[in-house]
Amino acid sequence: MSQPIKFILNFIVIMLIQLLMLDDMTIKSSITLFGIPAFIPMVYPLILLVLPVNTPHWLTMLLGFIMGIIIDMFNNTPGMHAAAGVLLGFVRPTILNLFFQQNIKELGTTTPGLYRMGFTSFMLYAAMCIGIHHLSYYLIQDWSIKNILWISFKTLLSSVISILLILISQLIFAKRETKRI
Amino acid sequence: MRNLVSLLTHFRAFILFIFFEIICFSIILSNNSYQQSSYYNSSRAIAGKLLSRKAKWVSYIHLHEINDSLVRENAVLKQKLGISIPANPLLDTSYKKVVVEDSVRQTTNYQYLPAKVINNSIDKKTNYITLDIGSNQGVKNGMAVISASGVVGKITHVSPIYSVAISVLSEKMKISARTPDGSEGPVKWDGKDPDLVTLTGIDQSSKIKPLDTIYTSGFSAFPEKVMIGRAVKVLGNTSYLIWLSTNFRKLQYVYVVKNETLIERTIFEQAVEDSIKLDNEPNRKHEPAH
Repeated sequence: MSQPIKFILNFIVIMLIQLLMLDDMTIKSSITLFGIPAFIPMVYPLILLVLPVNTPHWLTMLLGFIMGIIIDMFNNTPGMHAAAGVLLGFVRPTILNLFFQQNIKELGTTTPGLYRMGFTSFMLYAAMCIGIHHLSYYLIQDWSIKNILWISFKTLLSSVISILLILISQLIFAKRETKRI
Repeated sequence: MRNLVSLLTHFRAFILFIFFEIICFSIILSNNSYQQSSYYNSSRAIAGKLLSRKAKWVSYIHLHEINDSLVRENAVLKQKLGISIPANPLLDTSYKKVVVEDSVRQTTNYQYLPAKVINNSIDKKTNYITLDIGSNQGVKNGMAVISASGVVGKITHVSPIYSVAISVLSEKMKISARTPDGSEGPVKWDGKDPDLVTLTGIDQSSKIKPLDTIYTSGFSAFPEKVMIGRAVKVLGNTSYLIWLSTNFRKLQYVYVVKNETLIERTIFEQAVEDSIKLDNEPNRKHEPAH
């Protein structure tokens, strides 16, 4: 399968999982009763995380914007997910550079994945990206730093669940490769 | 000039980033007040279709709960009507088919439109509920939304087939509430627990005990005496913690309240406001209307 088609499929499947399953998770639970804030896991940043490393900078930002605006439309949070998505698209090459020894421009169409990067590197990469995305999203939504402790607690909870889901998806779908970079 | 071009190409990613963020934040800020409608909402046809299909699948799981709540609501309504049903109307010889016409039609101020919740959230600062009826069924902006158990929200966006309501679980939303002893105050959500709201501005003289029922006062779009919840805790002299009677986690069916007198009321209030404004401007002359 050629790479663009693969990523379009990726985009659609991850979006549908986010919109149809994960957005409803808080509704059915009652964990907010014990002082734990209501939160939803957001796995849609995975679309940006598994793009090839040589994806142009403008394209990651544009994709972040598009996926954010679609999520916003369904959730009635105009612009908030989009702003967080654009930020993630902007910082992604910088974070990727931390985990690859070579310059990422020389790596070609390598996709960052669990087996390609190794467990520790991939988890750190995912944690940094998801952390930045979730924190910026909750900050934009709250629009103040008055409840910063509350926001960081919510970010932590939500990121942990999102990273776990991303890890599970990688364990199931990522290609097993022995060659590591 | 060449330096400028090289500077721009060097920072082109950052410039693009700023450009995208400006678009996002202009969308966020344009929607800051809840009356201002944004294009990006779930009453749009694409979003609404997908969400209603999802709700169709999911609703099978909840059929049991929905049936239970309907039976309970029916029982309450029957009790209110106070009608005892005859055992068999055919055997009952005293039975005569007499239809009593309601001569005082003005009493029906409110019309209830049933709607299905196709999307709902409780985790945001401003939560919205998407409903499967729209302007084709007569839904308009600003109408109140209630459920069988209590208040739910207020319509903010309407499209031909779908509509979006801002839920009580929103920091922008305020409801006028009335306590059992008649004092009134606004009810607001603090943005944290989706079961609790706070009632403020109550007279110090009025004593509210825990488990006292709080109803709407009828000053806003909500009809009078719709249950908001029960008081659970005294927060201060004038504020109380209220446990919402509506369970927002399991919201399935709601009613959109069409207030027949609301238009007349708003026109009248507007006229009063205008006349006060005119009185305050002594230099302006009243021109006769043609």
